[in-house]
Amino acid sequence: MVDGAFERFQNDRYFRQLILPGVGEDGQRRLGQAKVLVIGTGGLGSPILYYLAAAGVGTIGIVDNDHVDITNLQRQILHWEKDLSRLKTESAREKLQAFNSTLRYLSHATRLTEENAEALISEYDLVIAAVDNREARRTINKACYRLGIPWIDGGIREYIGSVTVFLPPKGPCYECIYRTPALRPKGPIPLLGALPGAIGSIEAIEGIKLILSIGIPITGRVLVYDAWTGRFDEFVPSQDPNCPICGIKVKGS
Amino acid sequence: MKEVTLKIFASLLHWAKEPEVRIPIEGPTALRNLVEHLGIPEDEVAVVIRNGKQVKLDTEVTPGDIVSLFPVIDGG
Repeated sequence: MVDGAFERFQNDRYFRQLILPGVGEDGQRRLGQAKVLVIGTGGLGSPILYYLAAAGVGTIGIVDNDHVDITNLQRQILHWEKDLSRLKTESAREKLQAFNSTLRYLSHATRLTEENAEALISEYDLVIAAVDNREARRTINKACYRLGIPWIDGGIREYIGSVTVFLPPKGPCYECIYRTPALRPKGPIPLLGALPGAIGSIEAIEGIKLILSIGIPITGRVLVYDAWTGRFDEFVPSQDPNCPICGIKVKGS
Repeated sequence: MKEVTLKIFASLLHWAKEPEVRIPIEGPTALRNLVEHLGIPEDEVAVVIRNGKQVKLDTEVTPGDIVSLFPVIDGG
């Protein structure tokens, strides 16, 4: 592009949020400088990644070690028929690159583990979880509280979904909310395809709010969306003073 | 009539059948007994909310309380 053309292109591209109170040029710069790690590129990860890229989040990390399967297409809108059997990180990166080519996408085709979590997460300012199991969330929670990095959780099942924002060292943390040894679902979780669209979009919104330091984050409360009844609700999670992750710090504060 | 309202979500409906159940109670009652009465296995219940705040299953409920029962919401 000729001199000044790229700037004009960027100003036009983000025009509707540049005129938004709370964003503006300063906010757009902050978005451009932000580094966000999205863990999981499935049902939740798809809208999260699309909306972060649309908003102009400068560096977006993508974690997944899975391959695209035919049963994913009902809800994982980053992946298309032509992507079957491809690595999800590759499929995601290709779409995002075509969608907003001005950003940096870093693929991590690996499974998040207790061993690699801290090294991976420490390269970023914010983590948005889009994972499909409780163990991965516990791993993210532990690493984020150790590193003092905020993280956003979303979960879905059948017709309900939930979102909450964790701001270490403040509790309650994920471990506080899910201390009970409730059974893991047996087999694949039944899901309405558009539900992760709603929940992932809320996670992306919360991420953008945190980057911009605007609004009121969903922290210290859990937002629940029941698609069956079409109702939003929220509850205040209990804080466990003996929580191994956030309990000691809470006592000390 | 004195009663407690139980709201049941997602997979827990496989046992409870109705998303909202009103159970008459005279006074403070163990929540665990009400969950058992509905036939919901207690290890399927991940989060219990009473009047907007998270509580444990071994809590007592009183007439007028609204209690929500959630399974693990861990899909992605």
